[in-house]
Amino acid sequence: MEKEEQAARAVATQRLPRLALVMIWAAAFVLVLEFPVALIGSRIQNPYARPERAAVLRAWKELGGRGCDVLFIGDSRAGAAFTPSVMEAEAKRAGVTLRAFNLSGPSSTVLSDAGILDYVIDEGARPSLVIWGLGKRQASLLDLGLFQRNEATFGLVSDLSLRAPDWYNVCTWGFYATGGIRQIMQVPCQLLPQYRNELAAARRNRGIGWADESSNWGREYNKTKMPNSPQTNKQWQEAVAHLSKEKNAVAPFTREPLVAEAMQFAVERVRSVGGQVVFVNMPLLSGRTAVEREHGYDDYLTWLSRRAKAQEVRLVDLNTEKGRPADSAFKDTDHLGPQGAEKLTRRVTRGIILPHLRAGGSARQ
Amino acid sequence: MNFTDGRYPVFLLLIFTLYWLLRKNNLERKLLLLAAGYTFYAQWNVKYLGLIIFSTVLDYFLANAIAAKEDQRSRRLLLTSSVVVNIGVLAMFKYYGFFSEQLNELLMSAGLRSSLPTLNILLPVGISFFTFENISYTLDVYRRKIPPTRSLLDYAIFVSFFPRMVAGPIIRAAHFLPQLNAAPQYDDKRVINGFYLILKGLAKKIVLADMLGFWLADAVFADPSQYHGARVLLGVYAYAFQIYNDFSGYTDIAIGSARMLGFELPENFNRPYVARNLQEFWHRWHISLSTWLRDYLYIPLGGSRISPVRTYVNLLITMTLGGLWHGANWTFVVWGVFHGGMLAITRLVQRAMGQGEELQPAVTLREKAWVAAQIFFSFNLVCLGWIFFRAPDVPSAMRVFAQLGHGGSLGLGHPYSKLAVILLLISAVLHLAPLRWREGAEERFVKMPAHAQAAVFVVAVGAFTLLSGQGLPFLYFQF
Repeated sequence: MEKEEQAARAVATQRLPRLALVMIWAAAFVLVLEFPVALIGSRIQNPYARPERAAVLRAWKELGGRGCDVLFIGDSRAGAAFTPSVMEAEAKRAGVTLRAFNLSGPSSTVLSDAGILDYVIDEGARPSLVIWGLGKRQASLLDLGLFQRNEATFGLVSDLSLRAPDWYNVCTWGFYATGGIRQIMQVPCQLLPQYRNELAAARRNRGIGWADESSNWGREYNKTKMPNSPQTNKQWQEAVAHLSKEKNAVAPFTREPLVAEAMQFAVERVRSVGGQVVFVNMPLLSGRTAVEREHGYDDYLTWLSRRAKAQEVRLVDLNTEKGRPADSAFKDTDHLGPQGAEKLTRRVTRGIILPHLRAGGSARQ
Repeated sequence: MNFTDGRYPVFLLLIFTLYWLLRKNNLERKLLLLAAGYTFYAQWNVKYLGLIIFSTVLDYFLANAIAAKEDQRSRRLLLTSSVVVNIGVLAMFKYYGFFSEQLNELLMSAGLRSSLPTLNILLPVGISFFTFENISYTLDVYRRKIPPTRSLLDYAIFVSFFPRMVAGPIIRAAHFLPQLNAAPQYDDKRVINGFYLILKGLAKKIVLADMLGFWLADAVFADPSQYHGARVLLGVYAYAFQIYNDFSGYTDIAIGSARMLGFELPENFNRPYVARNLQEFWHRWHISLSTWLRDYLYIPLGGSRISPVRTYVNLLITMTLGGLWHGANWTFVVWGVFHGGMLAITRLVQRAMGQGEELQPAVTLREKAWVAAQIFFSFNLVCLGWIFFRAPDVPSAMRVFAQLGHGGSLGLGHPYSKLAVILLLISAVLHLAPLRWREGAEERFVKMPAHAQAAVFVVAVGAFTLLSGQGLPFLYFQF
């Protein structure tokens, strides 16, 4: 009897298992570490910062739909590669005044690009030239404007790709690290004012009807404007699953008739207001290109050439052996770093935009 | 569910907590393990759970029937049924497409139009592993090495034990079932040790394997003609360490997860690249597969007991089938034949020099230099094999070989490619480090205070989160 009581007492007073202690300590470390990381991170300028599509559109709308000569569209690759301010400065040096907007957005697809173009033209934009940055992934996807933001989870950073090592990234990495642990440990993420501000900004963006992070707008647009698009929830779920798979692996090129249809639609829409479109096959890191070749990259390129020919659109391939920027110009496998973007924008301005304007495209000389 | 999936730690912690809460309720504890195994598997494809349940029930009843029969002919018939059904299922899912394609090509080249239908089916994850485990179980019962388990639940847990379900290590019923039926004893040290192994496995997979693959190996194998010979060689070496870190990392996570639940799984790797010849390599690489092939294929074929020539043939057959086990592709066949051939040559040389399989430790400096040369030579032989193993087809492998002799520039343009080279060196140094260093690190971690362990955990998970952008699956999942 005494022995049983002793055993019961031993169980009752048994200390916490070591693993539970480790987890409690880890949670404490994360909470303590996040403050300095957030503080330092918020004071360092992000060299990769690009205004979000929603912000660009707000700026453009403030101009009342006027003054838009060149539009860049595409996914994050085009977002990282084309810098409107560099282009405007380069054009000015050549005696041409023009205004450019980069409406590219992460995870954008051909369909969402077509939707964006349609919208801005509806709102009064009359671009003389649209530079459409394209890639295999974009042309393979059917979803519309679906973009999962990480801000809500991670605070100030906006994507999870590997980046060139520099001080800004040391801090963003800090966020990834603490954010990752927090996510695993399910610790609520609204402890810092920065997070609250970010969440509020995300909500504001949704409020104006432009929402990179929300697929609702895309769904509505899809229902009203795009023929033969996914209509049911199930189809949308499939599109979402497809997208998340695509984001995590090198996926094969899938030839979707709807993508070609959307391209045709967008090109005609731009032409209807007197503009021209140029397809640009976006550059990738050389190794990435080699890997993509195993997954239908050449099929995609052939398909894109045929589309350009059928629609009588100029195609510029920036991912050739000679045309591709050096690997050191990339910040990760797919996106150019700031210097690489500057160089490429100058090249595109001199090689495509200025010759086009001189050949008859309108701009303020 | 993947071990690197964010859901896995949550899943493991949940099962861990429930398991130890239920440790005194035998039935509930076992039902939890079974439910965990099936849930884990259903994350890939819920339909294929039926396949696992089918093979579990079939082998359970066949093994019991074998044990109940005294008549040798009936026993053999029952055993044959088990082997035929297991191999048949594996063949249908894994090899039917390959062989029908080869046969169709053969018929077409002979001018015949007849063609076999192709099956558009997905390969069930881990089928090669659980098929081998089922076969070893019925064979062991047939050989009267173990009595059959009378509990269908126990056998179902053996087949579906989640930590090793999809990519091994291949376990034996004789090793697992006694552990399942022993009263579980919670041990803080073992749990922390398991936790350490999981962190170590994740580090191998995410920090080393994925980085080496993504930044050094994949591009070279995708298009070797783009690179100079030195860069191609670097890609091949990177792949050697990628596949080692990937698979041994997976195994560490599997062993660690099992250990947290109080189970011991067999070791699968023992620094394979320090092997002095290919014979030793196979004692150190994928040990659970090589011992399976030895016990259930090589020895039944006659092993080395009949004649020298027959030994070489047996080695060739065993390794060719071992190669084919990895996948339905000529590259795996060539890889298997290469290893079989090399093992046969090693035997031949040993016989000619009057040496046994036993390797003598090096004492003098000269002997140590000779051992280092042997290790280097063996490592390069293994790398030759990896070229076939990694390439999508034989002509692509030949292109890699052809490119090896072209030029000496490394051409590492991106900072991450340079970082990956450093990781390759770190990987090699860690590989060469004496075993006692690793054991020492393990012991030190276990003895650390909780806050120090938490700090290691935070830093490690931070690094994993940073580098997990590649999202590459474990290489051995495909087998």
